[in-house]
Amino acid sequence: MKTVDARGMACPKPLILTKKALNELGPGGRFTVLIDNETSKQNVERFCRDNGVEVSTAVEGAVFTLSLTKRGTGTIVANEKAYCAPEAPRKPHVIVFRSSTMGNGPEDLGGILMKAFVNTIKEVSPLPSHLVFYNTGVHLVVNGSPLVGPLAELEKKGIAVLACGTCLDYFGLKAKLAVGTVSNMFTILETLSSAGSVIAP
Amino acid sequence: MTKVIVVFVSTRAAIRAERACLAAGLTCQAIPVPRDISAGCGIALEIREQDKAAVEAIMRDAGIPDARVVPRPAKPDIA
Repeated sequence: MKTVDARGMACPKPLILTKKALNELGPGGRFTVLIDNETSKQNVERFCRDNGVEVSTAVEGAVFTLSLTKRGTGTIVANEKAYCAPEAPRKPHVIVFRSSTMGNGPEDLGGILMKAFVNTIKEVSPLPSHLVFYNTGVHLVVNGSPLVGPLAELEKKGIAVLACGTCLDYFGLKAKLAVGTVSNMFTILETLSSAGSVIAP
Repeated sequence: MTKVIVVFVSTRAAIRAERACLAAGLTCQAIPVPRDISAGCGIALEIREQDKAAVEAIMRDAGIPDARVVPRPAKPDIA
């Protein structure tokens, strides 16, 4: 596999070399980029994510190894030099669980997709600030739900877990809440309206 | 605790397997198939390594003979 050695280089050099190497590749093509400074590493990661390139980063000592996989088919035309400027800090996202399934469709399919979704939250950076459960979504946060353990782990990482009190009450589940706190329409709407973005699986 | 994962040939098999493992009282979490194993969409089950034999027996009883238990790929450091 090809390696782009950008050690000792400052922005925009690593970006230019990465873009050039990407545009020499077809879809599915892979290569690695070696970088030894945090700023360039972040800029290259951001450039890749915005341009349909999968990137995973490993650190060893002072060297970052970025493994890139090109997903798109076209030539990347984005101006790589624009990625030298630091990104404005983004407000964290919020995930809403509007039902106990991911998407609409067969219950068993939606159920297992939702479990896999929740079990993937911890793997994807940045983490959300809140998880909000309402309507049949509250079934995920009560005793007997196989997701109570994974959700409690996320709560330990500092992610707030809010469960709609009206909904728990409707299903007679108020006493069975196993993770998170009982919340109301005011807090839920405030949480959603101040979110950087809202994700609804 | 060491975890291993079980991969399946179909989504329906994964759904049945999860149900069977939970019914047997085993610790089992549905996760996406790790990228290192397949780039396609798929559901796998994460189980405790110590439950491997029990899970394999459950898979046989449930008629899911193609289920494969594989080690969890090492995760690259999330930088």
